[in-house]
Amino acid sequence: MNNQFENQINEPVKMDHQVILNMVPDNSSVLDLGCGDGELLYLLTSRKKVKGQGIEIDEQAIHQCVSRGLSVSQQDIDCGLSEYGDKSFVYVIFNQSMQQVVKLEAVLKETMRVGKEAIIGFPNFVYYKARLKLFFSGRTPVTPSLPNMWYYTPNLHFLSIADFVDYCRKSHYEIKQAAYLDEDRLIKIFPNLFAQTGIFLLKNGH
Amino acid sequence: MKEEKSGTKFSPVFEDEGYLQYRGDNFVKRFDSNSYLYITKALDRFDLANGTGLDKVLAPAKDTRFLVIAFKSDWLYPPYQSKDIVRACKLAHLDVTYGEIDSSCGHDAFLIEVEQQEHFIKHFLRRVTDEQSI
Repeated sequence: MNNQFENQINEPVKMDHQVILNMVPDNSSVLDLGCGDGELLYLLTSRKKVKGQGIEIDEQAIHQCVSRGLSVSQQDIDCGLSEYGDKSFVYVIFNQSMQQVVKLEAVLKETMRVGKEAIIGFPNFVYYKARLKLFFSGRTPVTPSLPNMWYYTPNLHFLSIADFVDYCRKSHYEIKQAAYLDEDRLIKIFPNLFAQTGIFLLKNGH
Repeated sequence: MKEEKSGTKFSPVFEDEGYLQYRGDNFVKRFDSNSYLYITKALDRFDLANGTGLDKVLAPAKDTRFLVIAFKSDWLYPPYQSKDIVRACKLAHLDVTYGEIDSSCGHDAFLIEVEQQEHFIKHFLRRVTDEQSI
């Protein structure tokens, strides 16, 4: 692919993107919800040869996706995914954008309907540094994975890894794989305390 | 201003009115204005999908790549209609890219917001040609 993002192949891959790359087998089909500037989707299409599509609401981000040669549409995830049939994609990826959706439960149901499996990544609100800041300073924590002040954060939903596991159990979503990350390494023990980010591979258990 | 002439009060007073009157007279001599009624009716009744879903009509275009561009303030071709096309493409499992350009220029935006359109079209065509050359 002859474009300005060719060099990206040699750049270090973000930790969460690497985890997701490892979860997705070659040549599968992927829908990336809230794909942003298309960094992850580009990695998936160039390295894993996936057939990928992205959805993003921000116009500038869409322009960047188009520059990367990606197939994307500018739309609001909150308006639903009714244009996709059941199990249209092998994977639906919802990475670091879930907490910004208004009607989250409805969108999660759609995610599980449209994909055979779903990969969901989100910041863990009860990461120990956030807990300490909350406890000792009495102020809403600002951490590397939750970098914005309360008055301009795009995040509408604050959840922990334990919350999400409970939700999957209640909704009968089978957790096939889970990865927990700090800034630069995988977390193996007490992820709800020590991980900044959780990434789950889910399958509809119905 | 032209010399006042006797006649109806709708007779041309200004030079440009006279010009328009002249062009109009010539036009009706060679064009039956009733045909406008037929043309508008034909436009209103045109249905690409012919009663079925647009996705079914588009389905055979499996190897075609689609780029749909809409302008937020365009009331003649409003974004929601462009989204219908995108939706049909997706239902038919076709490769589609959709961009909505923020502009306050209404339908004329397509003549004004050239840079954004160029960005979409240039990269889209580059991708399509890259895919073909592989």
